[in-house]
Amino acid sequence: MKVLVSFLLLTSAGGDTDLPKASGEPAVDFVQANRAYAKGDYESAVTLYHELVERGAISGHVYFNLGNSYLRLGHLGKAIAAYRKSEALLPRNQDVQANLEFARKSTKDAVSPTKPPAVARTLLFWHFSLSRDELTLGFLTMNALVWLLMTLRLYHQESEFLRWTLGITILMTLPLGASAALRHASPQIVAVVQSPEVAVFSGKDENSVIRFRLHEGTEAEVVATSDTWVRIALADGKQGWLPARHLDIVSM
Amino acid sequence: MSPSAHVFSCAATTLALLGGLGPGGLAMAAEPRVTATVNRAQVQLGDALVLTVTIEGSRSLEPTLPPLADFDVRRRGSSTQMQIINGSMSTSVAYNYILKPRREGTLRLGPVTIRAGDREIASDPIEIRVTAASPVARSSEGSSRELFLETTVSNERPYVGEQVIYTLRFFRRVRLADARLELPEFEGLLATELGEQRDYNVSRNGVKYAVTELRRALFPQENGAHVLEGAQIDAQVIASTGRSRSPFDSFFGDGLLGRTQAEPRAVRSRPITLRVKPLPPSPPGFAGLVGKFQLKSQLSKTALAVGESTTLILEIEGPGHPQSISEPELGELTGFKVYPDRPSSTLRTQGAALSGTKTFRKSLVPLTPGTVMLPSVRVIFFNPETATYQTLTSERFEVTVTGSSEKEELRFAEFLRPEAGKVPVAVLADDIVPIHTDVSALRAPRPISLGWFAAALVVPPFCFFGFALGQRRRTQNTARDAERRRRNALKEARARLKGLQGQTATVKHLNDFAEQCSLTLRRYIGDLLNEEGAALTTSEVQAKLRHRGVSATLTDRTAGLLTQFEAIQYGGAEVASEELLRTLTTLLQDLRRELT
Repeated sequence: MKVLVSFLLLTSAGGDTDLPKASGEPAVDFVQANRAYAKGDYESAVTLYHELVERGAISGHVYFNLGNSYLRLGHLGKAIAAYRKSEALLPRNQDVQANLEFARKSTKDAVSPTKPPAVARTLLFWHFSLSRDELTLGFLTMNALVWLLMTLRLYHQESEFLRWTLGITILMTLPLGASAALRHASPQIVAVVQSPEVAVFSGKDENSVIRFRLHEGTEAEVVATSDTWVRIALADGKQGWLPARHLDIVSM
Repeated sequence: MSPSAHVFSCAATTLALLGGLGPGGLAMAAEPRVTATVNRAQVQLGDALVLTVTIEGSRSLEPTLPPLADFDVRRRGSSTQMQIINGSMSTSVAYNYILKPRREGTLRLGPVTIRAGDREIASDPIEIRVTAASPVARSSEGSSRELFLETTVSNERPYVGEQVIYTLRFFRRVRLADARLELPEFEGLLATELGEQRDYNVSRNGVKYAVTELRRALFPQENGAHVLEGAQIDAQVIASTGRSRSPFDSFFGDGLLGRTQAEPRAVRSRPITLRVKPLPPSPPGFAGLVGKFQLKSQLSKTALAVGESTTLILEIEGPGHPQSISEPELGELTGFKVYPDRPSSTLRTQGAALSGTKTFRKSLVPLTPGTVMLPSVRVIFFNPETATYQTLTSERFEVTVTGSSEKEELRFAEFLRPEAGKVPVAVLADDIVPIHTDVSALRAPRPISLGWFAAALVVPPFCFFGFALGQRRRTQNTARDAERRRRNALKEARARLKGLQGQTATVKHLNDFAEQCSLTLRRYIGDLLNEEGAALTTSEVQAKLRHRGVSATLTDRTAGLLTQFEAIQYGGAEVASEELLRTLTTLLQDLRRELT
């Protein structure tokens, strides 16, 4: 009886605790995190999603769920940063776009994130609708296809079909390669303000002139970094420096 | 004028000019002086005054301020004045500072000093009298107040959750610029803007004021004393100096030399203490509603068939933000499937207070026929006026459900106002898209490593060049073989023909001779064309020779000879073997000439 009581005490003490425990299995932890979210335990959900990311389960869907959890907790800046990370991995996902727009409606500053012109987005649609890895994989696949077609032409030089197919494949490969190279060499870096209110200075010094103030959730493009300071540019052209600790930096 | 006289006169003129400036020069070299003045010797705590330090006789000296621990100091720029009177020039530079006292009392502004060489020159000290800040400012001159701030609350002893209206009124009768308002923090209270900012004119004690009024609806979240610190407004008061315009105004543009002057002022309202009372012990089912609430209920249909739906609408209206109104429980309802809908809410200003309405909708689908009395819904609120809890109960509806003749799929189709016809789709509320729960969502594509990228980029062209090289080698080998065959073709044909001489003794020998001659000719053509000549027929030989551009005459001769050989083989024709061999040898040479 004594032993039974002790056992019961142990189980009741070690039962549901406040801190979530990750099992180490990504799928299990993912389900556990989703359950915590469904129960309304957003803090635990955030912890578990972060652990998934730290252990290498970097997925656009995990970042999406993380964004939802932060949004439920009222952490607008962290939610928007998570949604932007999800968008980098899932650029065509409608859910990510919808929730990102929802979160942006709650930001205080009337500043839209920098967007390329609509004409550019239409004409260079692959550059904006494919993620960096998708562009790279697409380019490598088309590259292999080009060389395969050239090899086949060695033995069928008179084939018009092969000649046209090769031409079209080259035309598709070059822009994919250019886009992939551009995204790798010069990725768009976005900064999302995390603090409720932050001053943006004219120089890398908190004694310099305050040019303007930004609030949580506002997105800006990173122009330069220096030590612990970041220079940002808003869509309307305003620029300034602020300490990096107020920002979450996302590489798109 | 002679050149030397011209030079002398120029030099004299220059000296004269310099000499004319002599007194001015002397004046410039006169001892510098520093004076310090303030625009007001008496201010209230929260107000600001302007300190002007004037340095005469030097443009390069900078003033050194005394320690000003009792003030917040901000520099406001400087201005320079030059005067030339009767050839004598004087310069003065005025440095302006905004000082805001930090405490009450008589504060001393120590002398301002300048250092001229090894001497220190000081101004006279100044005494500033700082009195306590008050929204009802005493006027030492006996005139009316120019600007002041009033804040009031509708109830200084509310209950937890009871709405309190905070009103701020800014009175002024002077021109202002760059006004900034700082509201108190409202710690421990939920604050919501109430209505728009209002501007109007009012007369108080016979004096007309322009008033700006702001209101906030406050909801105390915890009991106890809550101090609402005073609100503060910082502004620049635009006043006319009445001075005549200095000729240097356009150069310096400083307000001190112009016709108007901006003077910084700050006004602060008194703090207000709210003594929030706790709610009495609440009955079960109380969800935190404080104020006077109303409940309305409505059922869209009271007679329906099994599988049809009817909508129960509950509308709760009362003071405060509707988001604080939680959904009331319907209670046990057997024989019905209940589908809750998203609630809608509206917020408005009713009279002088914030009021909200939250509407809950539930679709009820009966599963069995019969008459059912829907349970009523209870909403409990605390009424601060009577200091009691009160319960609102919704109307009880009787629903008559008839059976359906056939089993049909349960459908939910109900219009909110079916009598009104189609209604536009309005967004009632918005929410984020739910999380992704499919575990396959975890299967993120691995980023491509540099090694794999390099391999994928480089391997295909390597394979292509490998194939291309192999193809080239094959082509070269084929060409070499063909060249060798062409070179050796005549030699081998002659050797074969030499062996055929004198071999026509018998018919059998003649047949063999003809066959060998035909074979020799076809092999020879095959060697020249790099093909398998032994298998070629006469017509194929003709076609290939024509394709290679051999003349028609030679082609016909070749075909004719091959036909003759066939005639000897199969027809037993007469033949002069030596003649034939000579003809064949000639043909071989002719073919070689045309095909190489």
